Amino acid sequence: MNRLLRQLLNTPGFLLIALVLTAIQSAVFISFPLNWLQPELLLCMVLWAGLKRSFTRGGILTLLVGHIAELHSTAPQGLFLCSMMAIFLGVRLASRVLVLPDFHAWTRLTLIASMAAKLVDLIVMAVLGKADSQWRHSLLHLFPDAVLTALAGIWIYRLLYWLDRITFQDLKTEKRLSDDWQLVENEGF
Amino acid sequence: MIKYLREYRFQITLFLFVLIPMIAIDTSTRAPRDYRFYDRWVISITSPIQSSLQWLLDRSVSAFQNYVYLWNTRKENLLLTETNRRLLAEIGQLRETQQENLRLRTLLGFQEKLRLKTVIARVIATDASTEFHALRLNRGELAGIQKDMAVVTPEGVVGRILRTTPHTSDVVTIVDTLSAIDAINERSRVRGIVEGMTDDLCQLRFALRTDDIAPGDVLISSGLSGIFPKGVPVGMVSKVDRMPYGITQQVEVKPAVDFSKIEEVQVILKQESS
Repeated sequence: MNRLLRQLLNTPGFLLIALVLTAIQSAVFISFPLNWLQPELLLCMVLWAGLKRSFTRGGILTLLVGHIAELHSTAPQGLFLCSMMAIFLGVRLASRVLVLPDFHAWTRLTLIASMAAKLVDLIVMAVLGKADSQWRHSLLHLFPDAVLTALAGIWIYRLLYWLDRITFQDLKTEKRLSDDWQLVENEGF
Repeated sequence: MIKYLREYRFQITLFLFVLIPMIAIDTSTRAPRDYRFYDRWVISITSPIQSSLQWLLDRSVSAFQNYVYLWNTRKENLLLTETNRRLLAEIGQLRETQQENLRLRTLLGFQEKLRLKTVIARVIATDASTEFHALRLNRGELAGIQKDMAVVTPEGVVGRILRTTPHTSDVVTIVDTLSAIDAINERSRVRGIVEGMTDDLCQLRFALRTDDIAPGDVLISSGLSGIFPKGVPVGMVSKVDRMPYGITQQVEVKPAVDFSKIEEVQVILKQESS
């Protein structure tokens, strides 16, 4: 019962982390020079949803995270939904060949995904006819933002890993629990 | 039917995941939408966190600055006393000028006088993306703030209210790509539309190539949009690129407000003419 309850709390916990990260992203990086060093923290959530959740569940979480981002921006509605979904689908596709053994690999993936997300943003803005004055700013921020997102990702992935562990979403924890259960069943521990 | 749905579950889900953002972006190009009830719940969770973080940052920076600048207080005090004396003299002169101005206005029968009812609000957050320049204020509908109200500082135009909740409001700033303000060149009275360029800069569009615009010219709001009162500084012309051909010229504008240092703003609730 306790386990089931904890499993149910995973998605609200995931969304709550997304909300807190959005608040941090928008409230801390207000003034100069921090306004030039704003990471895209929600992108880490999308990557986690892409690689650690099922296709349907990850996709729905990506849409929700994209919507949260749009509520805290003057970006045209749908822009972040498009870019985040593109990253989610890209990561899902790459997951067939991608091996992420440690957090360093996650950091490298975040770096690439952050730059890709900005380029998708630019493409969508170009389609909307709003990219004329946007490309210079985006290209200027492309690498610094990606580096900061990757660095911030180290802590975010640890946090998400912790969430998955305590809510029994992590495969290793699941296996350990089932082993324990087997021990209880077979050996009477 | 259910058998087919099960068989093509992945394809259907993929199709929906691609379709939803497309529909969202399509509807957004037609009309910007306000917050829905569930959006307001989300904002009610994030805005207190944003306020708290901003308060914490503000206090930390203030404490650090107070400590660092303490040694310089005496020197600064002397300088301020001197400035205060000079300003008092200037105020006396300005009072005289104001009286003269009032007398002349009465003589000319100039009765229009702009009265502004404003609300002071604090910036608690910026845009979640570096590509856009929204600001979130700590006052909302309960303070009388509504959509499309003008937001200014003593330096000039900040932007307009985009969306509101009871306790917060979002501002689309003039440096945002989605912003456009009708402006007049204070010197030559040439008109144009000031649009955001994201990169802390704006551009004056639809200014004819033959129009008299030079670097250093101050642009003020024309008052035509009905949002901004007339005469509020929008920015200063920083660069003029006039080609030997074409209809218009490229004019770069530096906003009057420094958006990297903005802390408090005024929201104009009502403009009355008497």
